[in-house]
Amino acid sequence: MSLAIGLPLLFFLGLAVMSLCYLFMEACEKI
Amino acid sequence: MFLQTWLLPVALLVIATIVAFPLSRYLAWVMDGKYRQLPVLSWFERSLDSGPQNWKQYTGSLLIFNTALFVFGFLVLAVQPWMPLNPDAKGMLAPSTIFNSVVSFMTNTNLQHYAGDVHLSNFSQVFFCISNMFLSASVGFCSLVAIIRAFRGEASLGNFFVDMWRVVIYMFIPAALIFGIIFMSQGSPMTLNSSYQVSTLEPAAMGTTDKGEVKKQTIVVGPVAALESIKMLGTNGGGFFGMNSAHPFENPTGVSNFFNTLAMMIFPFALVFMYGRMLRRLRHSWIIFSVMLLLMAGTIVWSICFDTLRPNPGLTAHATAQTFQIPNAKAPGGKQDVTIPAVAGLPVDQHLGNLEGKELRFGTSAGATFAALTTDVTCGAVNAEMDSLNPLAALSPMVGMWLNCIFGGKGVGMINMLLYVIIGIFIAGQMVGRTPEYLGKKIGAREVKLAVLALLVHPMMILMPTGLFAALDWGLKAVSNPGAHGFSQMLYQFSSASANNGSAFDGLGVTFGFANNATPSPTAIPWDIATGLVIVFSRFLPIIAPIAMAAFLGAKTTSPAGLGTLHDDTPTFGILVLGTILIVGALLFLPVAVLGPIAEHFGPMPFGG
Repeated sequence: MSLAIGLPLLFFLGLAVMSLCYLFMEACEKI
Repeated sequence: MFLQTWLLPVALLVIATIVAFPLSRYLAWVMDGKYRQLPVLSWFERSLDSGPQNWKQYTGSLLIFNTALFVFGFLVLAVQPWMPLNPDAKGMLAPSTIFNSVVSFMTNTNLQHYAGDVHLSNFSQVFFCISNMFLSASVGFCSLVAIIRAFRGEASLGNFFVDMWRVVIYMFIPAALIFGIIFMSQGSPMTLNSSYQVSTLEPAAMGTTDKGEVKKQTIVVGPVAALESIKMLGTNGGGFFGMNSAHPFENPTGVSNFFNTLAMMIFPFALVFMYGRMLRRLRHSWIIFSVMLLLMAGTIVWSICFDTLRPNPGLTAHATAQTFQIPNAKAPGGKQDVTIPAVAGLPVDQHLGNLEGKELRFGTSAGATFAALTTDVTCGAVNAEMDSLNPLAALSPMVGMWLNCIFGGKGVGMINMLLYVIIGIFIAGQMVGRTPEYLGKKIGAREVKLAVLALLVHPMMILMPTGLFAALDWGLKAVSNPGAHGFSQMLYQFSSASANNGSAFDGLGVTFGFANNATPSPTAIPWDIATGLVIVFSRFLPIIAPIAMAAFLGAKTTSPAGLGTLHDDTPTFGILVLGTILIVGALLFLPVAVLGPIAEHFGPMPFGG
């Protein structure tokens, strides 16, 4: 995995999984 | 022999309990805001206070703060080659190593797919490792405090940023200063120098150059004492050196080992009492504490009995060569023959038990004791090689991570215990036909759903990826041992990631390291990404759902206790909770325990024993 692809890809993967956690919080309210 | 084996674990449990009880009074006093602010600090606290928050605002702040930590950590590691405090010119880390390290440190996991002394500059050690160790430890702490306030029926759970400030400034910094001085007194380095070039006592021990000049040895140093203290107090576990607390700079003496071990116990112990003090139910917290202490004593005794008091089966003599089969899809018939040659009686004295991977300067049982404790309190630091534990002894750290509530990490361990409490009360209520109640509030379907949801994240995040990797080359190419022990290595890695523990069976090849590394572990990238994702989900989902559950439960009206109320401050309640933990834990994890360490124990020599 080259730096040019790997760094931005995994940076945004991290932001995406944190966003999923935020969506989970929203879902907890509706349970 | 008896005294030198059992004195250390007994002394640790007793002293940690004695320290934790008064410490809990201080923690409750600070978190209830009863302290007088120092003038110089009050401005910061006022600036951070964005006002009272409900459960969604508090949890949202927690997630936003951690997202900011992710961005900050990613940047610090990505610019390492150009930052100061890097005279050894530590280079650019591989993207997957950066991703894994950042999510690992921001979640209090500290699963290190790198070696700190090899791959990190002192700039990264200070601004990435140490800063994350203070902040990630405080996040779990604040989560528990939010749940306590919700249980008290308060509309506001406080303010996340003010709580973080209180934990860091009034708890971790003073404690880290005290323990840092203790570690310095024992010989831990505390310097911003990076390394020393020294002449070895034995000439040319490091070899010679092409010109015949004697090579010098490089000894890495740095702000070790500062990192070591918060590493243990915050149950972080990520070492300055790859060898972690087995390294003579991180843990120089038997005395430093005692304080290393004590440091990771006092806050998880104290938080149980803090829970009781803040809810004004100290007897209830004593019952929970007793259940946790009983489980912890069990894991320590198990670990010592099968490691310190048993020889290493790999070193015991067996006269004939043995052949056995392991599964291999590429071999004819799907089976591969593995032959173990005969081993003569090796000149190894095993009357002190399994000494492979142990540091005898700490005492004979220190490795087994530390292995049990570091996984019970979700620290993950190691002072012995986990991969070298006898097969059945390795069950002890695994059980600590699977149950994840034997004191556990600061705050989150107690939260996991509360999930078991809610489930236990619910089951008891179903058995006697009464509406289950906790703290005088009726537990409804909504609360049980959230508790079960939070509880099931952990086993799902262990069992699903372990099964996937065991079936693919990603797992089979990473393990260093055939058969059951290789499965244990994969199982341990995902257990450690999901429990936010951070220890590992180091035989597993998961290191990429520097971006220009020509020979990384062939499956490092999938391991970096998979364990990284497990770490994030297993950290935040079991924090979010319990905070929501506590808010919904706390909003209900309190009903007075009646004749049929299940009192939560009796030994009966403790037995109910203990039974719930053991039954749920056994149902979830016994099958993989049989496939891993238990199969290894009963397997062919020398892997069995």
